[in-house]
Amino acid sequence: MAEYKYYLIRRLLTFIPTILGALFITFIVSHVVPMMPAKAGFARHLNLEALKRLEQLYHLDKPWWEQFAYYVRDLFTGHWGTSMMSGRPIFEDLRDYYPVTVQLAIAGEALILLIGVPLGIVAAMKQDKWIDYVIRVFSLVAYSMPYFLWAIGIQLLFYWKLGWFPGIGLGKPPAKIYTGMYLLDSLLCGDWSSFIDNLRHLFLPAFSLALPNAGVIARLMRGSLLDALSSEYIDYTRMKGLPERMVVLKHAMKNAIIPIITVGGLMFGGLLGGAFITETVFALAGAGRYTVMAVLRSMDIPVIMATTFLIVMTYLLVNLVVDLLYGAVDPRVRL
Amino acid sequence: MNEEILRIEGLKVYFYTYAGVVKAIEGVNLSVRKGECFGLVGETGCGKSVTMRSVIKLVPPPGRIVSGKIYFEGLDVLSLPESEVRKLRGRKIGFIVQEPMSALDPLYKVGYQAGEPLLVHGLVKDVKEMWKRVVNLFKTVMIPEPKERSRNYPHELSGGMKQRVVIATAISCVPDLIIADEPTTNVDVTIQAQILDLLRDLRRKYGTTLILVTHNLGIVAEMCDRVAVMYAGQIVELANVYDLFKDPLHPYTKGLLEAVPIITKSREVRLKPIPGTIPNLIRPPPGCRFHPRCSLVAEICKRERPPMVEVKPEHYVACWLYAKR
Ligand SMILES: Nc1ncnc2c1ncn2[C@@H]1O[C@H](COP(=O)(O)OP(=O)(O)OP(=O)(O)O)[C@@H](O)[C@H]1O
Ligand SMILES: [Mg+2]
Repeated sequence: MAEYKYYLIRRLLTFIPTILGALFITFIVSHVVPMMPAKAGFARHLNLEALKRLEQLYHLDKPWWEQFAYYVRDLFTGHWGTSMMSGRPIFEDLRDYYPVTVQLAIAGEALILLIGVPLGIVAAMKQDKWIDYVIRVFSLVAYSMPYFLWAIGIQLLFYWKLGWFPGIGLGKPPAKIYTGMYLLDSLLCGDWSSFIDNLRHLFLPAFSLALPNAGVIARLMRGSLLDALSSEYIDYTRMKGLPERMVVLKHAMKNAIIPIITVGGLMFGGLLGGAFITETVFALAGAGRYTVMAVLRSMDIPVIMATTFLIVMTYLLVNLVVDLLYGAVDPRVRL
Repeated sequence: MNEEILRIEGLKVYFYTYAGVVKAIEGVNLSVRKGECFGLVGETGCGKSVTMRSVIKLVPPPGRIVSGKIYFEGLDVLSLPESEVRKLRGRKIGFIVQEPMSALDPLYKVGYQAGEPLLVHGLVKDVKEMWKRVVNLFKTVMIPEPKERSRNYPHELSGGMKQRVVIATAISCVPDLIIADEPTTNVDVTIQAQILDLLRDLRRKYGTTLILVTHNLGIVAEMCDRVAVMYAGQIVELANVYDLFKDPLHPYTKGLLEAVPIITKSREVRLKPIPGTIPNLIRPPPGCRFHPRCSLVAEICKRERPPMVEVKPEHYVACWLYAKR
């Protein structure tokens, strides 16, 4: 266990340069690359005094590393500027919208694992039986269709046609709001009617976000479980007299789950991206839809930057969790 | 001394592959006596491992035991339900595998893995007692710093240490029979000697029966009481070690013995390989499976399988040179 503690500390320390590196890339994209076309073209006609004052205000007269320091400081202190679209500080906008996106992505991730892992296990245990073929065809279909097709199709079927689930908007806000994720908040303050309503509203978007990825996970799980089951160490557990249940659950499954942790974690980033589309289809007031609007309506660069920052941070955090989980399961990575 | 612990009768194991049915084991008969060290030798691919795995009913797919009987301590193993065979594995029959490097699960501590048989066969009351027993086991197989090593993961141990862990696992429940499938092929010569010493000590201590599978005739001469020679899925000769080395009967055995490197006085190493190659077991040669490589082949060898005959007391051979036609 001491070994794991060192691994944890080391991993946490590498988190800092990773964040700085990621921010540096977004900094280059936003500050260094775009020069002011207006300034370049019409410098003669501009009020140079005013321009200088503006440059000073935004520290644009400073060397790039100082600018980078201000950039990082502003990002971490929530000084993200004002949205041209809503006229509100971007920080406040995203405090409302981003939790919706995160909640959707988490629900999507949960569904991916809940659907993909069991299907993969069943397919592996019944290898080459009819159920295995059914699952393989399902996963092929699931991941060969893009998010937006699934989103539209699922909305059409379960909302418009069958009416089983609400297909548009968020659920009833809970009595108290802590995180902005309604499902979690309603659970925290024990508001059950809001909890149920949000669960129902979340289901279709999360399901359409999960389906393509669940197909990938089912296939991966099937393959890695079959690999594990045919390995020599599994063979040896049988020679020791372990019952089949223990052979599969304790030894084969634990080994087979390792690639699922890695790939499943990486998928989370894709889910945040996919949420942009899903939110648009299901009319959810999330960061994805907010950013899409900002781009379409007014080319609101600061909004794009802020969302990018949030997604980068979330992604790095998920990566950290993945690594910690990975280290907890596999002693070989703790070196 | 002559009490029998294991008897294999007419064992046939076929592998149902896409290329065809591989007739890997075709009618093996042998019997192992309580307390002895029984050697099983033969070229690679002749079916030693498959025969041994049949004893605990664990033939790897796509293999299937087609026919035959296996009696272990009087029990008809092949007709026992799976739950009963499981009680033999690890408990009454300890297995030392050919590949210690890949026989251990990378995700569990080696001590836990060595103690698993104790747990599943209910020989310890809890995990704590298991760990105590494991440390003692590691001491028995002479793993230095047994307590610390037992807490290591497989990737932290050397090949020789892993082999010892596998041996500790095999003897954990003090089985009546240990099957050691080439326990020394993947370790260097010094460790090989240590491991053989270890097996000898264990036998002395517990009186365990040992089946030693190998293609190293030197090891057989050093360790075994009796030995069976296998060729292409069949036993061709069975005798006590002394008789077999002094007076081999089957042309294949003679060839094998000549294939052992002999260092002459001039320090030149001689090695005479047996001409020809191991036959394809999907379409094995008719009659005696060795006949295409045999220098003494006769007409009947190509048509009929030779019966096993007792040429001298306790010395059996399956060859038309010795059988009545
Ligand atoms: N998975 C398999 N698929 C098809 N045929 C197999 C399989 N495993 C074993 N066989 C067949 O069984 C024969 C015997 O294999 P076995 O592993 O028992 O040989 P062995 O005598 O133990 O050889 P070695 O000295 O290399 O360990 C092989 O020649 C092969 O034809
Ligand atoms: Mg073998």
